[in-house]
Amino acid sequence: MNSTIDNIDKGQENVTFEKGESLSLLAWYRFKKNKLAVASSVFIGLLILVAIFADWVAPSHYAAEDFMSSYLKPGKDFLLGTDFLGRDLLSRIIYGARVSLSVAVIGTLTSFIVGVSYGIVSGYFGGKIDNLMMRIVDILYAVPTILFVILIMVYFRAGKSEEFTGFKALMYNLDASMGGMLFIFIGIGLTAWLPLARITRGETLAVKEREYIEAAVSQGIGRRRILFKRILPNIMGPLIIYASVEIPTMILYEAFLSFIGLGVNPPTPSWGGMIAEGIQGIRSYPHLILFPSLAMTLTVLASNFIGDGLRDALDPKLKD
Amino acid sequence: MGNFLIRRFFNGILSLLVVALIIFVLLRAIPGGPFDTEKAVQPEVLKNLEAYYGLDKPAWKQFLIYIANAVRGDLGVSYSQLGYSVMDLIKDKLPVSVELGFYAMLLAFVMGIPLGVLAAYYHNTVIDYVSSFLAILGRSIPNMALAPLLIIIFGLTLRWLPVARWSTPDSKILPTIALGLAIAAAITRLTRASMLQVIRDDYIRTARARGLSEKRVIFKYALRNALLPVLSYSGPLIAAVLTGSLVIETIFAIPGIGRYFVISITNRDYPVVMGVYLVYGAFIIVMNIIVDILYAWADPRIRLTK
Repeated sequence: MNSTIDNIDKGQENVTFEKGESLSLLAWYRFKKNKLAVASSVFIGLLILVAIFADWVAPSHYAAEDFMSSYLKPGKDFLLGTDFLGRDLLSRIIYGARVSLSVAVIGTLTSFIVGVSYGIVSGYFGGKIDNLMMRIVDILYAVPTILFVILIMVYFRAGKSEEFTGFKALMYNLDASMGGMLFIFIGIGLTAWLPLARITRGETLAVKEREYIEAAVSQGIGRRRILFKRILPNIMGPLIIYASVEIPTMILYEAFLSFIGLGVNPPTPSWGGMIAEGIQGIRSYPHLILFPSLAMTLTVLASNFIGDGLRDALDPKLKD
Repeated sequence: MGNFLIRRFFNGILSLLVVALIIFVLLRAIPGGPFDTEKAVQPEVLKNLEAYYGLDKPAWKQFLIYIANAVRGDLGVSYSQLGYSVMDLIKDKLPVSVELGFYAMLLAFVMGIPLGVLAAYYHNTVIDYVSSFLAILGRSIPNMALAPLLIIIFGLTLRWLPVARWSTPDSKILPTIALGLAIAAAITRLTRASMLQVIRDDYIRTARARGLSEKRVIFKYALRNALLPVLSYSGPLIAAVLTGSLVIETIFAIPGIGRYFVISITNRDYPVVMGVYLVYGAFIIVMNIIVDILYAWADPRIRLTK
């Protein structure tokens, strides 16, 4: 972490090394200077608020149909127009933000937890365990994640909650009450962890040979404590950077799944699903596709700016 | 080198086998079978159908038979399209997808490398900012949003280009852009970053000190080394192109193999699923090996040992 110390701006040098969280404070100073990243954070923050309070913000419910006013162009009554069932497009986009953002957060978290625990165990224990665990990762790497997600999602989506009892029924009911999001989380969590596992393993391998780990071992500190208290905090930086850069990928995953019809359950709106629905009428009703596309692009753009900003802030070495 | 190739080859085969096994198990675990219809099929008929396709045998035997046939190039026949063998299907559809992917990659390299070099050469100037902004924009527009946008602008409003299909050369322009732009953005970023690193190296300073022309320094000395990381990233990029083509093929109604990834599963058309996924996996594995070889060839410091 010496490089971080070298890179501090002069004025902040005396403020920073008194408390434990000084490094993150430093990162915060750097992040604040990045205007695009800050503006993007504000945008995403607003979007999160809108998503949480969708019930109050949205002009109508996402599934409220009105056949008399289907396929309306954007206008006074319906700001962004209506779709083929006469549902208000703006409301559907607002509720769609819920899906996108939840997947962004929970998908990233699950893949982070799975990947980091897998990688740290593999890297720390080394030898045969490491070999086997990494061979499994190599094999799974051979097939693009998206294909595994498709298979897993079909597996989930083919079942109906009535057919099951016990745990499975509980999961299916939970999924249904979340509009189909639960299985998207699981599907992404099961597949998107591979790169993180590799990175974590590499970092663990590098760190575990350091003197302070040797010191901890010689003090008789237990394995678990060494893993979580000595190694994990020291490799967290690059892992967080990677995870934050991957957030847009999660959003795109969900959009892709909903686009091919394996994502959220209708009528729950998802931007990807709305684009897929809009394709049929692109000639006559381009607005049906334009607005969800715009929402998706802006969100991904903002998360890219935030991810890049976080990366530059947490690891200034990487910034050219 | 030979040793490395042999090992990679066998690793690839092992990967494919495991992938085949996972798909096989998952497919059988999915509720519903290939002969489910709206009306219940008579049990005798179902039995005959299953016997005909070998589905009455124990699962492990089915798997072994499949692998044994696959080795001989026989991937079975489609359940849903009578008389259509999986090999025929792949021969029909794969070339279209590969062509689309090839054009997209071509566009990505032709656009991405010059933009990246320019950005690095004019580091921290307007050119750099514009190119970096374009790169992040390209990375942020999902292809499922870009494709309809292109159709609306160039197909429906300006009426310059066809909105769908894959036939005349001009019909291939929009899908190529829709698929290739994000990849171009990724390559711009990579090229820029690695150029910036290389330009600071001592041998570049030496080259300049020797009075070589700036053009020569950049293209003959810097670019060659800067392209190495770009090359090593092109394996994953090829995978991204192929999955992206699934969306693009749907939107532009292109008769590629992309849509079979989903249709075949929902139809429980086991042989098609296995065939399509295995060919895909094999393609990715082979491309990765080729990228590794190219990499070692381009950078003599790297020995193919791992």
